Amino acid sequence: MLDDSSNRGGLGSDYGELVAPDQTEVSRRIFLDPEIHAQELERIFARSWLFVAHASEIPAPGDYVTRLTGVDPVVVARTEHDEIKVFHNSCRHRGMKVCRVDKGNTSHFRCPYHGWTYKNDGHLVGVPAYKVAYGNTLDRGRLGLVEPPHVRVLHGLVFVNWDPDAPTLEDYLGGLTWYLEIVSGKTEGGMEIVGTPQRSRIKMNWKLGADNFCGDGYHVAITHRHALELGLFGGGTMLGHTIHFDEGHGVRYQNYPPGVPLPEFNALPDEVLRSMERTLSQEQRETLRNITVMHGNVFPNFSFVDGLFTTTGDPDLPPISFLNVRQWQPAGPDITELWSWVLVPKEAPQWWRDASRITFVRSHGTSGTFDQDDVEIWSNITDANRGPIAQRMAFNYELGQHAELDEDWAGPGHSFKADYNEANQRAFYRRWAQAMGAGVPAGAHVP
Amino acid sequence: MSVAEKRVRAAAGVELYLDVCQFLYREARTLDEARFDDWLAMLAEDMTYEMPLTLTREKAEQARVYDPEMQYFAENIHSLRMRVARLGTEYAWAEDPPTRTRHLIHNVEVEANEDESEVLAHCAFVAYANRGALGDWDVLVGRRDDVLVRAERDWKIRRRTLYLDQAVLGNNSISFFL
Repeated sequence: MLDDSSNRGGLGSDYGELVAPDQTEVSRRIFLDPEIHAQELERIFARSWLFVAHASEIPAPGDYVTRLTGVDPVVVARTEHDEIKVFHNSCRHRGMKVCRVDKGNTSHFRCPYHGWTYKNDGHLVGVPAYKVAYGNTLDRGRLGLVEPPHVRVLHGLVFVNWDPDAPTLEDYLGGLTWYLEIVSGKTEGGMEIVGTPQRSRIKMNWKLGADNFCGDGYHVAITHRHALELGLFGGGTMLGHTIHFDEGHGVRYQNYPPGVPLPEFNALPDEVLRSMERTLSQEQRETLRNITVMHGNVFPNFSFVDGLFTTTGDPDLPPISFLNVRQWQPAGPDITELWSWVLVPKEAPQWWRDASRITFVRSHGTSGTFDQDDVEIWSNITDANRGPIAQRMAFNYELGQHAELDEDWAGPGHSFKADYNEANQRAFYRRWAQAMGAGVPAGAHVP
Repeated sequence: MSVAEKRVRAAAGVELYLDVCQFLYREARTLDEARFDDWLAMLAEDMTYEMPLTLTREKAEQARVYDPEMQYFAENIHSLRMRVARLGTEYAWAEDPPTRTRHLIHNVEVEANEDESEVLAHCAFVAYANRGALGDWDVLVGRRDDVLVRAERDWKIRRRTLYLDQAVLGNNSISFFL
């Protein structure tokens, strides 16, 4: 425990000291300080595996979407050879964006400044007045758009890492892969994105979103109490597990107790349930049997939530689940750009896809009844903690320290049979402190 | 496609135009005064209320600027009733204290079907929203297509489609009706 009587609430100014050794206290500075934010972009976002797109967003050769890695813009494109390429969205000559739209289909990207032209695999293929202007000396071969050294597609999820020395995605994810299979690898046909992502700017630091999604079961009964009162969500006393990983990732399962009349297996359609018997293990399938929600965060800023909703008040809409993946983009120390997608199994019939999408929009979209209240709280946390007095204080993460590990849990990770537990957040900030302080590449194993 | 769109429509005469404008302004005031039960009474039982995502696309793709698959609102009368019921609980934190809103309705054009039982009203909207003690405010601007049907005493909204002039929302979340 840190000494609150000292000037900074006990937390030092070195990055390693902003998080207490047992992670039960985290300095409020890390949620607002511009210098810390700038360092995060370098030490975390330029070194971590970051989600950029789902393969289904660019199904045809020539398709592309523009995305962010931290605050660095990238283009994610499918080449004529059906290969997914990712490159920095800036011309090698003067740095102009080569693509200024959200999505489209093209064989080439031409810079509007001087006209350097790149094939959709990133190669520089056109330089105006090449002979006159450069006397044939410009080495076009080495001036392709800059690509991250690592691009990996896992169950359709496209991840990149800008660090040449990064661990493999599999090593970086560790045991979390088992859960990502449940999220995105549950059907033989794969998952696909519905439309395009919702995007909104929230007045908060990106870590508040990651913190919540990695395992905050404690806020549900108060922040989202309207949903419990109106019977929109869940039933009875919630049970659950929080599971964390040394790599800083976290997953939380919330279960409804026996006897509650809710559908099993997330109300997934029969087509998907049959497919799941071939794609997932018995143990993986069982984790979905009686959940109201499972959600988690892949360090640093990629979150997912797979939730079963009782009703949106609509008699034509049965209890149904949706899979929402989202990114907390670090637009500024106090600004997060939230990108939020919905994924549906390809095998799901049209009525199920529609119901799933609509349920997401009404509950967890930008206007959703759940997200509104989360965002109201996060933006007011930001307002309350700008001042020098607040910046001396810490957030408290003591919850659930008495919880015992569940040795019977079938999946990987450190699993606690406790819905109210901040072990996941403690693991997140331990990873954060290591990445920021000791310069350990994100994803390296934490002893 | 609604009944109004299938039939030949004509620009409304002055009397009908003013009648529809009065209805739209009255609806805006009902929302600004937070009389949400009164607002629900202005909606038809079979109403739809949608706001597709707006995308940034090349000029050649301007016909596909609004995402046909994903929305910011995908509502019907039941879900809007649930949203209003939510505001009635003590736990609608995003609207307690309530957002100060002002719905400004502009550039109204009204087209009517033959017997003037149904109209299509186009308008531009500016929705101003301000919360707490903050000096900054949010403004949502866009165009709106409303299909209104004649009811016993007044019009009812059967279809509302909102098209935002913004690709990335800048205002935390949308906790009010448009």
